[in-house]
Amino acid sequence: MTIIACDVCFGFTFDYLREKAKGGETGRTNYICDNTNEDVLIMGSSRAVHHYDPNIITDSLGMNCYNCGYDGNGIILNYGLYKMLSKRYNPKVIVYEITSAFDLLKGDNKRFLKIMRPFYNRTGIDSIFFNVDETEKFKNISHMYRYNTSFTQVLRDSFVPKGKNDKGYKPSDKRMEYEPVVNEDYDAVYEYDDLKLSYLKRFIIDCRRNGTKLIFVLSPSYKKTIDREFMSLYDICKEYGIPFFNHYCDYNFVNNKDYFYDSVHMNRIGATKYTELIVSELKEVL
Amino acid sequence: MIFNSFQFLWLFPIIFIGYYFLQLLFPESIRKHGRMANVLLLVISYGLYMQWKPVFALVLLGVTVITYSFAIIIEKKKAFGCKKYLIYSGILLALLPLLIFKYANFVNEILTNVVGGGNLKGLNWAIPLGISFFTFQAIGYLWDVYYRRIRAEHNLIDYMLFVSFFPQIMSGPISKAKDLLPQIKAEREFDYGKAVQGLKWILWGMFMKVVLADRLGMYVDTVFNNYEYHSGISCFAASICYTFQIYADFAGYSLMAIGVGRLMGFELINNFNRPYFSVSITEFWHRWHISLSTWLKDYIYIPLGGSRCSKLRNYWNIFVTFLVSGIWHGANWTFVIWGVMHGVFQILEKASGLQKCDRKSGVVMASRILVTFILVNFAWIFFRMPTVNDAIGYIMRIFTEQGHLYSNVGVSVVVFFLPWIMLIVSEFRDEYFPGKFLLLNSKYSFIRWCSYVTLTIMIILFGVLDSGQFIYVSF
Repeated sequence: MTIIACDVCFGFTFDYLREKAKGGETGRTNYICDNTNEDVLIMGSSRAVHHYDPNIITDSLGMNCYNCGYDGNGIILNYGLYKMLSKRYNPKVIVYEITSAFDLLKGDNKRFLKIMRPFYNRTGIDSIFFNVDETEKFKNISHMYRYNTSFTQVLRDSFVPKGKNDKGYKPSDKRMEYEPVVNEDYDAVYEYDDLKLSYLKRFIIDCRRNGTKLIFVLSPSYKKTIDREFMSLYDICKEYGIPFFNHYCDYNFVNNKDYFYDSVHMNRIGATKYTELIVSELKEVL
Repeated sequence: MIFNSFQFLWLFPIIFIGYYFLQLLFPESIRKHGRMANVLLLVISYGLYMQWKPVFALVLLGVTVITYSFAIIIEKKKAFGCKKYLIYSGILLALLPLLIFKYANFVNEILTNVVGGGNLKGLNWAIPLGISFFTFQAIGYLWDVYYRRIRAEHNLIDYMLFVSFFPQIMSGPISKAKDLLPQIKAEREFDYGKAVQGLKWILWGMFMKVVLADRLGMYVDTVFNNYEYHSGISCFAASICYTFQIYADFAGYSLMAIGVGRLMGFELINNFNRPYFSVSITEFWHRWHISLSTWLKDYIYIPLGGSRCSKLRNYWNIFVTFLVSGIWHGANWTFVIWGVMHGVFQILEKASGLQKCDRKSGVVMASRILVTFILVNFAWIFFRMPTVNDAIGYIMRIFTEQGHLYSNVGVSVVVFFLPWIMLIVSEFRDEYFPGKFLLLNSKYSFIRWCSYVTLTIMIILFGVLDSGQFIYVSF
């Protein structure tokens, strides 16, 4: 009984703190779920967060833009975020940065639920939890479980928020000082994740139904020369008629160390140049 | 059934209540000898074992029937030569599944390297869970019958339960027949005090496993799996984390197994006794994985001659014992080297008289504990890495690669370090102030209940509750 009482009190307190948090990651998540009203949204993983400057997109396209990318996350979280924000409004364009590990290939999908757990009660997202792991239905009865490990972040963001972002965009000013080992396996056999692919398709269908133009993009990765792992996305794009701009192995970027701060992430210089390039391509399809 | 799984949370209470409740339905004459309870436990044990790959229950059954039959035959035979032939045959047959499932590919790889030429096709089989544990437990029983330490068990149900008892089959402890079989044969009734103690062990074990071990494991995996990109200080920090991770993981899981056993009315052997407070590697093996150490001592070291022989022979006996320990842990040269390192450390300690330490001098003792910890820490690197070259590369990196400490632990500093500090303080208290400053076992119910609630809340808020796997379950 004591634990149940603690759980309920904890839930009330942290739900309140989370909703009030204006800064940090908690504030950013609140904004994405409850306050976004921009015409263009960027979605995807850390490569989305660091590679797309909303200011350049806004200036070039004449449409407001916000970067909703999340470090270490893919379609399972992004679909959940889209379900929540599309209850309020429908953006005109969503630019989705694909990351094979988070959007296509097999792997542990439970990790993608963490950011959504505090929003478990919101309508339309509970099925994502059940599809990833049936036991989530029972685990989420506990309010404390919803804030597992994230409660410290909520506390910090409520009282001393850290981490600035520019319309969701988080550029890095570092430069890659080392030469990374880039392993490329030309004979690799890729195992695709049915759940991730099914959510990608649902995302496409929902966007189409809501009148949102969806565009898949793939930004450069250092020294990459093969992109076979994205073949399944080509098939999906062909099936649904979705534009896909692939710069994964773009030699104008991938061989230039000055554009990267690690082997998979570009720095501000690379991101600015890449955003300018992608904007010119977006203009052609919008 | 993994104890840190969601399934355990809902299934075990059903098993626990069903186990005691169903016994009440039978007449006292049957209940008195624990027969029905044993049948129930056997059904539960096999049922849980068959959850993963049901066919592997045949391996478990095979090892059980072989050792059961050979023990009875050995006991009946009078002639020593004949008994010797029988024990070796029995052990070989019982070891066969372990050799095939666990070591066939390793042997194949060695032969391919020695003979040369093309690759022989390996066996791409899964390994039956806990095969090393139940095989060693069954072989230990066979040796005990051979040495006439115990009588052969004639009740097949009881013996099957001894080998397959579900709290310990996945991860030990490796029980001895003289300890567990009498408990199986005895009448067991629900004991509130024992049940409470069992629950406390499960709670603390769960804390060690999901709050500490699995959390450390995230940092460890990040650095170890990409060590080529990390600085020496990061590699060293990750190795320290791994040293604590494997302890919290295995000791935590063992504690849960012992707690579950206690709830079912059994007392299983304590497997850990604060090993990182050891002043020598020799002492470390008296405190780490105690059931395996005892097994190796009783069935390998002593039969080889133990210490009652020449010095050189004694060193050889230690070496062989720890070579077997290394091989038991895995079919990989990394485990062999890990075992050999521990053997060599102990030989050096014995040769220089360092296996014991004057505990009166605090500075000397602290230094010895630190040196032992560092040696154990570096040996664990071989245990963790996939190949010997990787392990050597990792160690070289610790000493040669300068750079910053990789500090992205994925969670806040509080979530990462607080459980670690709690474990160290708890171990320190138990080591140097036994019986004092108790929390879970405090005589004040308020303190006890505060401890229960705090630990439970910490498990929910700090724990890795997704899918942490138990390291030793693959052995």
